[in-house]
This record gives sequence, C-alpha cells and structure tokens, in this order.
Amino acid sequence: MSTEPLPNEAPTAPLNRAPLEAPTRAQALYRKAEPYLYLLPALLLVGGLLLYSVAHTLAISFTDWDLITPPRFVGLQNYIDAIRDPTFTRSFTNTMVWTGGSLLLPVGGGLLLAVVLERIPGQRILKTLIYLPAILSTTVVAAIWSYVYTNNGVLNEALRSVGFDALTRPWMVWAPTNTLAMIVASSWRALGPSMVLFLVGLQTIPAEIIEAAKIDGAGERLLFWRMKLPLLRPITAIVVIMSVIQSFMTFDLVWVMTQGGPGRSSETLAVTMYRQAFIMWRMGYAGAVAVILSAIVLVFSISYLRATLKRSAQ
Amino acid sequence: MNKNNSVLLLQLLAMLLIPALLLGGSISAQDEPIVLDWANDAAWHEAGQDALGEASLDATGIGINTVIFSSTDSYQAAVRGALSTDDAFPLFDWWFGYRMKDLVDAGLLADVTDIWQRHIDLGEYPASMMGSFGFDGRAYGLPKMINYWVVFYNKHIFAEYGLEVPTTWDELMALAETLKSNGVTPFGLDVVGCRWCSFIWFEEMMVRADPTLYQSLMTGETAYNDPQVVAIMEQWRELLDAGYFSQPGDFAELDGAAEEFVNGSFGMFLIGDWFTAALERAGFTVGDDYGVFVMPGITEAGHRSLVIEGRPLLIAENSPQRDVALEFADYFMSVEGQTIWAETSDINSPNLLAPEETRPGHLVDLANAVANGDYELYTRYWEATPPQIVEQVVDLLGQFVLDPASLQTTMDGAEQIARDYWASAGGE
Repeated sequence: MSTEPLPNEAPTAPLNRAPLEAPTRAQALYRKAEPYLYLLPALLLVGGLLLYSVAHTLAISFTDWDLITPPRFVGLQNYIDAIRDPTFTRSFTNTMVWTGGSLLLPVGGGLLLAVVLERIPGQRILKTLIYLPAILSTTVVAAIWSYVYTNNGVLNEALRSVGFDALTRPWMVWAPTNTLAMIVASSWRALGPSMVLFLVGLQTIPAEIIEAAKIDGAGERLLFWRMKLPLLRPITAIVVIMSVIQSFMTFDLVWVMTQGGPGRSSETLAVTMYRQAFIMWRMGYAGAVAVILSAIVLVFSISYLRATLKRSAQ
Repeated sequence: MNKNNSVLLLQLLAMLLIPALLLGGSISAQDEPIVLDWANDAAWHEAGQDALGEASLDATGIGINTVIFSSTDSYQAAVRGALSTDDAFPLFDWWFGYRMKDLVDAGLLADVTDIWQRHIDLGEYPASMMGSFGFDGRAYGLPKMINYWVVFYNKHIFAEYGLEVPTTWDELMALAETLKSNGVTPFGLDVVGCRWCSFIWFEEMMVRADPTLYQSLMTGETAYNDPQVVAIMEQWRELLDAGYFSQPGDFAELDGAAEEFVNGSFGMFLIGDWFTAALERAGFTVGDDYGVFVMPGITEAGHRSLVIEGRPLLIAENSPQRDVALEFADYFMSVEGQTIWAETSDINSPNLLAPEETRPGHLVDLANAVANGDYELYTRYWEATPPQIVEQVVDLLGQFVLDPASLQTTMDGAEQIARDYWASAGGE
C-alpha cells in the first residue's frame, strides 16, 4: 500500500517542525485590510480631487457664494435663474451645435480618412500631416484661425482668388456662422487623433474575416458597412464619447477667438460657466451650470455606452 | 547603561534640543529685515518689484518677496479666497474702480487715504486721480500703473494727405472725411476680435460730450436710455453710418489691429497708451511712424476730459503685516520709489515729480499737461461702473456696432441690466 497522500490531500507537517501558531487578532485584521491599503492612495486621489470637487460644486450650486462673503443657501434659485436666462438657452443651443459638428467632422471625418488612408500609397506622410495640428495647443490653433477668418484673412482671400467672391463673408461676426467656423478650426486639430484611433481599430480587424467576405463576393461598400463598421464599434464608442465630452467642455478655443461674442452669440455652456464664476463671481450660478452640464454628459455617456455595449453583445 | 537606555537618552536630548534650536532661530529672525509678500499675475512686473524691494530694504528696512501667478483666474480666486483670513497677501495687485468695490464693501482693504493725501499735498499726484482708487472720498488702492486713453495716429497717412493733429471736434470730423474720401478708413475699431472694445467709443463720446452725465450714468443716477445719453449715442451712430470705422471682423485681437494700423488700413486708433508696445512689436517707432493726441471735446466741458485706466496696489486689511505694508506703501508712492519702479519696470509713473527720462517720449507732454491740471481724469468704463453691468453692456454695445439701427434696443437693454443691478445692490 502506498503511503503517498492522494493528490487532493494536504501533506502532513514534517515531524521536526513546530506546529504553526494561530494568527493573532491583529494579524488577521491586518491581512484583511492589507489589499485595501494598496488601494488607499488611488482612493485618496480620486476622493480628494474628484469626488470632493463634485460634492463641493453641487453644494455651492445651492448658494450665492462670491468667494469673499460666507455662502447663503438659496435653494434652487441658481437653477431657476439659469433655465430662465436666454443666454443660457443660447449657450445650450451652441453647445449642441458643437456636439453635432464634432460628431460629423472629427468623428465622421476621422473614420473616413482612416478608411481611405488605409489603402493608399504614401499614407505615412499624409497621416503625419493630418496628425500634426494635434500637437499644437488650443490657444495657438485659435490664434492661427483668428487670422484665417478675418475679413481679409486667408479664407476670404483664397475664395476671392478662385472666383468665389460671393462666398466671402465676415466669418466671426454673425451667428451661427461664427460657431460653425470655430467648429471647423477645432476639427482641424481633432481630426488627427480620431483618425489614428480608427486606424488602430481597423488594424485589429482579423484579415481572414475580411478575406473571407471578399471571397464571398462582398464589394468595398458592403465590406465597410457590414463588416468594418460593426467590428469598429468599440473604438467608435470611445471616439464618440471622447468627442462628445470634449465638445461639451468647449471653452478655450471660443474664449480666445471671440470670448463668446459678439453679443454672446457664440457662447457655449463652458464659457457661460467661466464667465459666471470668474468674471461675475457668481460661484453658485456657475456651479448650477456645471451640474447641469455634467448631468447632460453623464446621461448621454451612460445611455450611449449601454446601447453600444448591448449591440456589441448581440 | 544598556543600548536601549542610550537610545532613550538620545531621544530625550533631541526633544529638548530641537525646540531650543527653533527658538534660537526665531530670536535671530527678529533681527532680520521684514519681508512682505507682493502677489500679482503680471510676470513682467517681477523685475521692477524686486528692484523696488531692494531699494525699499535699504531705505526703510522692508523687503519684498514677489509672488507671481501664471494665470489671472487662479490668481483672482486665490487672492479673493484668502482675503478674509490672516493668510491674505499683505500686498497684491488688482483692478481699480468698481472692480475692487466688493472688496471695499466687505471691509477687506486697508484705507490708504492718508498716504494719498500726503503725496497729493507734496504735488506728486493730481488730486482727481485718487477718486479712481476709492469711493466716497476714501482711497483703498495705490497707483501701480496709470494709462491714459489717447488717439494713436499714423504719421505717414497724415503726411500724405497734409493733415494736422486736430484741436477741435470739427477739425477731427473734417480730417475723418478727408481720409474717407481718399479711401482710407479713419478709425480702427473691432468688436469681434476684441469683445470689450465695444465700450471704447461709447465711453469716449460720453466724456467728450458731457462728462458729468457720464459719471452719473456710471453711478446709476442717469438711465442708459435717458434722452441725453441716447442723443450722444446717435452722434456715434452717425459716425458708424458714415463709414468712419473699420468693418467688424477686419482684424484679430489687438495685435492684429496694430498690424493693420502699421499697414495703413486705418488712420487712427483710440486706445490706452499701452498700445505703444503692440505698435513697437509690429515695427512702428514713436515719433517717426506714429504719434498720439487726446481726442478733442465735442463740447467745451468735454475738451478737458481724459480717460484713465489704472492698476492698483492693494493692502489686505486682515493681513498680520498690514501696518508694515502701509509703511511700504508710503515709500512706494514717493518720488524715489516711483523713479525706481518706472526705471526698472518700463512703466509710466503717475508720480508727477518722477524724472521726465522715466517716461516714454510721446507721453511726456501729456503727463505734464495732467500735472498742470489741464485735464479732468475719468475712470475707464470697464472699471467706472459695476462689472455686473459692464460685462453685459459691452455685449449689447458690440451688437450695436454690428447693427447701428438697434440703438434704442441697445440702450433699453442696457438700462434694464443697470436697473436690475442697482435695485439688487440697493436692497442688499
């Protein structure tokens, strides 16, 4: 008969070793807490920098705080003021236009470029050229495009030189042209990063799937709509979410190019929030705008991700 | 003595020695000079502040530690947040007029009226300047920077059409017509690249026509849609309709305006004298290429008006170093302090007795004229009335420039904003 233990049987302790001591209560507690201690730095960072800020913003949105006198509780007054304010409505509309424009140009344009560039010679140079504006700061982009859009700027001169005089106009003066012009300027910078993300996505699609579809007689159009686009869904979700959040946060470009003007016609919600906080010192009102802005982004992100993930699962 | 006891003894000695050493440090620190923190968001002031600090240390025993913030927003938020505590910066830069009113109302600023008065009595500052740095006859800020608002003119264009600097409103209008008829836009103005620039001509027309009315409008005693105010605005509208101004969207920001001015796109530009720096950057040299003049008055009263813009130095009432800061403030206002400040910071000193060499050449005559009492000084619109009104009215004025036919709507809208503000301010 074999004395060897069965595979699932624990080996007995050798006779010459002292039996293991039972852990003390403190040791047991430490072992339980240990994993959480490793999490603590990250938790403190997120808690201190993110959750505290969110809670603080939410709290001040119910006050009339101006940074120098103690805040007074005013209930929902800031939210009521914001919703009744015609400028808030205009900022909201402009922000929606920004969101639509950002989905169309950087997302749609990035996808189109990725698909086209994947197959043409000299793509490396073109990709670099398209990505180049992404390394510029927004302020620099804004300054460059301010000169492009002046009455005698590059755009109008170019249009005149090719005989399209009727298309020339003061680009930054009237709404909604000024907002649309700024979306183009912003997209010039955002196109490169979204194109790169889509290119990465396209490269992760297994070649044999595409090959098989081609053998089955799928044309380029069918390949794109029925194969590539559905397989790109996880990347598309990331690009769309990033783009939407970015467009809701649109501030610096508008601030440098028009400061939301003329006559607040190109103001976005982020500009409204900034003006109320750091120019009018109405921290409560700015907090209310921030809460509304965050709520919209949150609702959009959750519902979009849910829908996308559900479709991916299917 | 075993090892454990030795360690214990060493710990005990350290506990006794460290506070003793710290105490020693603080005793010796008492002999060291007092250093005041001076905060601002203008990095280009740093060298001047440091130089002033060194001079002040020699003269008064009070040194300066310059604290620069890279962003105006974070600077304002940090200063405002600390002002009600004893962590407040003893010295800090701010914006004058109504931009500092809420700090005054909350009792956060030290009263510096006595320091002003002493230096006015010595003939160093015009008495009317103090009013821009306080309220109801009391001053709460010191003039770190003063800029006069003047008309810059392109000397080459003036020479080409045989034009002279105008001394009356009629001469100015004739000059504008000459330029216009020769295809040169008389005045540069843009409310697109420069949102706030919409107030420049509104303010100037007001002080040139009726400075008393301007002041009462700023304090809420006169309505924006008062017939007298509307009549002055109509005069501006006539100039807009006559095509005397550049088109909205013609240039990007003020540096763009400087380039267009250098290119001869327009003949004159009304702005603060700090525009000199932008023109020099664009390649123009004062005297050879451009000059400045004060816009002539539409009325006799308006002929003596001069708009000023200032950057005040403030002292925090709650700072534990408040009294030392007041002592430094006196040195700062003096001829010696201002001379060093002007020489090292390249800023035109408002001290009338500061040596002429410290001023940019084209502003010497103006400074002398101010010193002689030739002008009444009026605070720039941006700071002359509450920011809650200004920030909204500049947008309405911008719309008016784009669409001059909307004059009455603009003034009614401005009055609504002003009325709402004054009603809530009065109710507080």
